[in-house]
Amino acid sequence: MPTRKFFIAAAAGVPLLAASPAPTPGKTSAPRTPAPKSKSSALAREFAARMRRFDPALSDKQLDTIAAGIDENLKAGSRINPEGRVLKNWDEPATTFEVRE
Amino acid sequence: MSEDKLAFADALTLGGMIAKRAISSVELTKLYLSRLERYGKTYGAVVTIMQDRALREARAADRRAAAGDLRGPLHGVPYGVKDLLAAAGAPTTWGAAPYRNQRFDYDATVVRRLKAAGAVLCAKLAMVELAGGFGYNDADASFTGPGRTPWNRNFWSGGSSSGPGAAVAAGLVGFAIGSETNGSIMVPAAFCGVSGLRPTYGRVSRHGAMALMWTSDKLGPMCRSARDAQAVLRAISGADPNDRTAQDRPFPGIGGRRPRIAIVKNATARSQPEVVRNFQASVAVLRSFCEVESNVALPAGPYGAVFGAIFNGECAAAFRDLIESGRSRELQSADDRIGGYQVYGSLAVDYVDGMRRRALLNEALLRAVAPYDAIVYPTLSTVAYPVGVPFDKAYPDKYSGQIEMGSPGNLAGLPSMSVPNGFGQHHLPTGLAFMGRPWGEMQLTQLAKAYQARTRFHLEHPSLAE
Repeated sequence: MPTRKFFIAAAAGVPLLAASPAPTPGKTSAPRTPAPKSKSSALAREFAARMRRFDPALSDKQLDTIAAGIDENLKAGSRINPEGRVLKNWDEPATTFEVRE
Repeated sequence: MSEDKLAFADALTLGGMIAKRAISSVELTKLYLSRLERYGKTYGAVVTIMQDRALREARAADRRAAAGDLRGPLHGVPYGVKDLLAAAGAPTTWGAAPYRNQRFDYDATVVRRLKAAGAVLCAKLAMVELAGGFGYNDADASFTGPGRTPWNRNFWSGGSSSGPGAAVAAGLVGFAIGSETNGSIMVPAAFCGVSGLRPTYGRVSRHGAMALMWTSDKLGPMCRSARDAQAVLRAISGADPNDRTAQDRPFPGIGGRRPRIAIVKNATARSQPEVVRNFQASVAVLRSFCEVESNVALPAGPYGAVFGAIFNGECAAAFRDLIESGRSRELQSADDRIGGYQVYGSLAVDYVDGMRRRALLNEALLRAVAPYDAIVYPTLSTVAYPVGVPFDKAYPDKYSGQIEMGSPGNLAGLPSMSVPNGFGQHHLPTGLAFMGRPWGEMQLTQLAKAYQARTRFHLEHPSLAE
């Protein structure tokens, strides 16, 4: 599938990620996407930091990028039901539990 | 027929030649095996060439043909599958280094069905790692290297079904099977200039396929003609006890009436001028045999946000073991090395609300689509992106309009088809998309066949580089 960034862009109604710099030649283990300029939320940074339990080699820059991505997901999530105006208590998910014999 | 003409003939032509004994399946299989060997790596199209199995199946197909036991229109025709489908006798790598030695001792249901239809499996074809689930942003996102369109190998083949798109366009197989969660058949079909069909969710069993997003994963044909796509879909569709979403459904056609199509409002917004020109020319062709309604607005989203929330939850669960193992670091794309952690950090409540909003969006979309045999739009707003340039830098003043149509269609599980409709910058192909009602694949392929009967873009093929 095309990248998750497309979804974020579509959600935001803007072109793809505004500020991805050129790749860094020769640094295969370093992230190509640098830390975003804006600061991520404390929640996202906290969650991102916990990813080091899975990969202790994650750099600070990578954690910043992970945090920025988490924030973008949260922001996109808030557009699903803005201010609670669209979904009502009784609206069921597209897939529902069913009893099968 | 010359080697080139044979290689680029469509699958039904090849099947017809085998049925008439004008060529044997073994001869045809040897031709494609040698082309896969010669060109496969050049276009980043191949993971594993399955020579022994292919020749074994081809010999069996020839024996049956000699005995008058033809299994259908694809009998003896060589094909390839995206490397997320299990096939006994070869690794199934999912395009990703952490899985490069993974093997399954069984065939995916689509592979079994194609074998029953007499087709010959020749190759496991390249793909974007994990079908693009972790957020790649450039063509170099597979352990086999970037997929390249045979029209110009400096440009991407599209993804995530990069190998199927390139292999079909380059005449390395008779046809191929790709998969789509959100654009993975339609995008490479457009970038490689082939006829790709994304079936209705549930039309084709996913048993034996890598899961990325259970509620949106589909398998479908990528071919050199719309008629091939129709034939291949018929061969692979149907209920399967191993995939409870797969169903036996009829293939309702358009019948004798004039087809009714809708042109999406702002269909060519933010598109390259050549894409606009080709789309307008395509609409003129469609007007010659269809009732066309212009400026049809689809219900408002937010499709991207809803798709993203659902996708994040399902992708993180599907690859939880990889994410928690820390082996994402072995992935090819720098974005993919951290993308898994980003989806892992999504909220469960966003997933559930995404599924709740999906129900409402789908209801509105189905009402909007119901009066038409197809909704028509340019598959993508640009030609293929250059290899070596991040996608978001490729055409900075543009952005892919496909996803605006792709997410609604994929959220609702609607079928869609992309066919080549001309050439744009750098003589790269552009695509024309038809999106239909649920289970309306026959209507889409009928429309696409009628379009191809009046145009020649699907008959053009690239000159290959060594």
